[in-house]
Amino acid sequence: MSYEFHRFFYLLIAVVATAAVVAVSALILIYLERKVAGHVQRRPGPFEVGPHGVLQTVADALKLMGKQPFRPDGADRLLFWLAPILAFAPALPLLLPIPFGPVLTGLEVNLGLILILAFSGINALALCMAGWGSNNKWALLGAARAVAQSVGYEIPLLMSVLSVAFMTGTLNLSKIVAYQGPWPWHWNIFTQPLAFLIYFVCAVAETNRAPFDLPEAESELTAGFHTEYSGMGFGLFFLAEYTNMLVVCSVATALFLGGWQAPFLPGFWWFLIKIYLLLLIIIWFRWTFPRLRFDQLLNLNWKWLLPLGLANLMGTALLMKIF
Amino acid sequence: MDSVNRIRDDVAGLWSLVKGLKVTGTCFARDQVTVHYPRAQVDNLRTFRGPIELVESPDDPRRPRCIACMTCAGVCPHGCITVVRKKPAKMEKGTEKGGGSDKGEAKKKARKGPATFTYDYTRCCLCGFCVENCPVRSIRFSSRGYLAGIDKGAFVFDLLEKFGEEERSQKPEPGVTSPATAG
Amino acid sequence: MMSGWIEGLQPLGRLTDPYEKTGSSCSIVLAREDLRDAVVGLYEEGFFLEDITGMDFAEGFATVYHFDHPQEPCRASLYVTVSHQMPAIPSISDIFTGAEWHEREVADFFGIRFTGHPDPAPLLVPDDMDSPPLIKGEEDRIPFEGFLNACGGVDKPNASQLFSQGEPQHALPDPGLRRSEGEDDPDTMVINMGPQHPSTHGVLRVILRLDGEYIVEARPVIGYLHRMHEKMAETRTWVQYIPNMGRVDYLNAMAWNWAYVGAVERLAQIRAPERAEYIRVIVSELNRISSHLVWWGALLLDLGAFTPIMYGFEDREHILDLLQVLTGSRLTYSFFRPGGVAGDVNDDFLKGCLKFVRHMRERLPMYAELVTENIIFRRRTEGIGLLPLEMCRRYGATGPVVRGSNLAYDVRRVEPYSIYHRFDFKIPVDTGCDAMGRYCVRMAEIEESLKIVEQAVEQIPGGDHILKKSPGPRWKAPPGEAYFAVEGARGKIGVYVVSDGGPKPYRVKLRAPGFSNLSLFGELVRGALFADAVSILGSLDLVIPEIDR
Repeated sequence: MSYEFHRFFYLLIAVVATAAVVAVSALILIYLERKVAGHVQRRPGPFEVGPHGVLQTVADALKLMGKQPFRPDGADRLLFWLAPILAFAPALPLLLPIPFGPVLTGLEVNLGLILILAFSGINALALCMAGWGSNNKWALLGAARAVAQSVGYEIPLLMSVLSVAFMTGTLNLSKIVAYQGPWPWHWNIFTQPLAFLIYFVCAVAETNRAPFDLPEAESELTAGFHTEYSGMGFGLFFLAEYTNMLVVCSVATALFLGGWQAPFLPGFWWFLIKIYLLLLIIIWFRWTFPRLRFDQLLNLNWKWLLPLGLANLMGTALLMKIF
Repeated sequence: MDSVNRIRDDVAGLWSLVKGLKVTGTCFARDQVTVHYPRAQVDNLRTFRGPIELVESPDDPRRPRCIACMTCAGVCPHGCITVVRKKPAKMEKGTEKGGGSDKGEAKKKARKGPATFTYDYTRCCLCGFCVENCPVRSIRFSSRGYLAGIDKGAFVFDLLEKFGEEERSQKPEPGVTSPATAG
Repeated sequence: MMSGWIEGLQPLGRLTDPYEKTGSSCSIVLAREDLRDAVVGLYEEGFFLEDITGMDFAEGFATVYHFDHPQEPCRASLYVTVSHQMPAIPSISDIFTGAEWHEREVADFFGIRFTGHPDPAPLLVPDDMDSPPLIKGEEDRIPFEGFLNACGGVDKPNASQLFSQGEPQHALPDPGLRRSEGEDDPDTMVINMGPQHPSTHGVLRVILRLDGEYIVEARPVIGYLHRMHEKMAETRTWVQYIPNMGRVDYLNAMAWNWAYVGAVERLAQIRAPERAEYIRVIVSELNRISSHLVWWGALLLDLGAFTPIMYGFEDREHILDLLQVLTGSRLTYSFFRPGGVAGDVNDDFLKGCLKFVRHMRERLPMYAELVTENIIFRRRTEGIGLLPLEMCRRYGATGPVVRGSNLAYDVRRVEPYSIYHRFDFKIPVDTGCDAMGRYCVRMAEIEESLKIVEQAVEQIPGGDHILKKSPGPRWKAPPGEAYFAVEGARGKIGVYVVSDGGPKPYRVKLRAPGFSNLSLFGELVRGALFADAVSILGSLDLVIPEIDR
């Protein structure tokens, strides 16, 4: 009894801590994104609220919370309000199995990777509900794009992850990290560069980030699936986007970049540094590239990533069998 | 063959993406080019042509050079200038009544000039016809670039205001004030 | 001189004033019944439609059709007259598809009916407008006879011949309001792109009928920004109207300034001093570059890249700073005057121009690296929005749009005005006919404009910047007509002025290049993907205030 209670208490702390990580990192990420955008465009970015505008995101969050929740006439009440919650809710279980440090894992499960892949699928459902429930044609187009995109890109993503799982022989993220060593040539990216590339492209696409931000493509679909959302409805989608970025980058770090394994600094800091490097690259992409067209997006997936992922998977399997 | 070329083009295209990242990356590292407005202002405000203003008379900086000939009001495409002439007869009468002022000043007072000079900046298109066509070069552009107000009325300027300060300081002297200047 | 089309026609009258005076090489008054024959002849000889202008005279309405040829300056003006009581003219929109919009515009402004028009709905004015805005009061009208006399009319027809025609005999069947294709198809959906949409750059509305992501039908709806500049012209004096030109197209105010001032100068038969012409060339080319820079950024913004517009604006800022020194404004310049320009340039300005030319040349490779070579950008524009040359001609498309379809038509070369013949520059063309072709043409034009600026700065002579006795705000223009065209950033800008000898214009017609360039959008995007519609719209470089006027 006491052991189970202990376990439960531990999980509770983990959930609360994860929620805190999500909230704080979202604030940091949004600030980072604006600053990077600003400096790339040779302007300062947010500058007025707080020193160098650090409190700008907080001010924006307060503004979003203060807005009246508004549902357009003819929108489906249940779907419309459920969608943003459903978009954000999976963020917690997604972050639980991730090993932030040698002993910093919220939920040590053997099938951690499966858990993450399973819960990440909910996002597509949320976008679909938002698009359909809004009773808006732009949103509908956005939702249709979101579903096709998520479903398509999940497959090569899965394959690249599987190649790593083949090599390490486990689906437990902590064990995958432990399998790798502290130096870069010990990391999985060294043995699986192609898988990492595929994973990263798919991760950007899965999180609907530019240049794959077609479901919201504001120059085409005004705002895509969240056209009709304002206030906290929009805020939750926004939060979900950044949390998803955090999740995919954490998984990438754990799978390919040796997780917390690195010399000199304590593991937790290394993990953070690696995550934020990946996040910076994703942000950098957004402020550099034009958007793909929808058919090009799917072509890239089905004609390039999928065959490459498959080949990589088979190659890995073959090599594992031989050696 | 075509598809082979296309595949090659696609792969080569990856390099173009890296080059794009290089461009934005370099700009990220470079200085900003924008001006932090409330802390700093642009340095070329001097050449900016904002709302018009009246030029001081060369022999008496307290009065405008304007002779109230109405050319500016006539050439303005949008009718944003309203000038009311001083009535010279009343003016002379006024100065005579005052009596205290010397002869030279009385002569100046008798000169033609505007009683009111109202300028509606909300209708002005800054074309400069009034400036170009003023026979005595009494109108010039100011370089007021930072104008703000909360109602339209704030942009209807009385261009005699800056001269009015001096005139008002003279007001206590009885007889100098005439009904025309008061209006 | 192309004149084969005129054979076999029996014009009711001719206007003999030479090209130098009117900007028109061949002006004839036609009976309504002969209009379509003449237009077919013009089409076969390779002419394109510039604009259709209505005019209100004492006896009735006169409609002027201006055609021009892309190889040589031989503007053909056809005058067709109808009575006030029964204003009906056969439509030519089945010959020149672009005439569809021009005719709707004339119908809006004058209430003239075009028989056989496929879609006679109001274009610029509100649907419930009850009186056409450009109809003059009884006392303001001048007789058409007088107008003909002022323009050197010979073989003058009598009024009864001209204006007493009844219903046109060659009237085409009136198809009524256009029904859209697939209107009843349950698998398609109508979606309104605009008037508030991030990619329509202002208040353009496009009614799209989508089948999934494919466009079945697209109908641009304009007029949300219509300010009736042409009516304003009739309430201001000749010079007072110049500030309006800065507002027609806010990105290319200098070219519009020039087109209007050029028309007035041609009407008055005055020439600006040499130095003024050089200043005009310098500021116009700088303005063209700044307009192209905004277009470049906006196109990339449409395609989802946020950063280029900031880089474009960064460079454009240098141009604005230069022009601010000269004109005092940064966007809506009213700098040109009949007989010169409003201000003189000094050495600092000229040095600044050369410095900018050097700076811009250093920046262009960066533009190419960031955008032109980018694989995503290329895939989004190559082969998108294929615009055959024949279609350009049917719609009267000009500027980079037609040059992107491999026709080296540039007013600066074909109908050289001012001193453009003195400069060494190329007319960039592209064989692509696609969005990428139009993109490449504009990017090359920036370089050519830099070359022109460089040469003009080197060659600029001393002297006055404006005539000693230039027309003032109360100046009265001699009676007559004049057409003047310049090459704007978006294509051929044409201004047609008619004077009755008074201080105010009798009629001013503004030919906006974007008007014709947008009218082909509906046909161009049919069958394209929705995302392509955005890149096509961006590649046409539309400025809505110019189109709506």
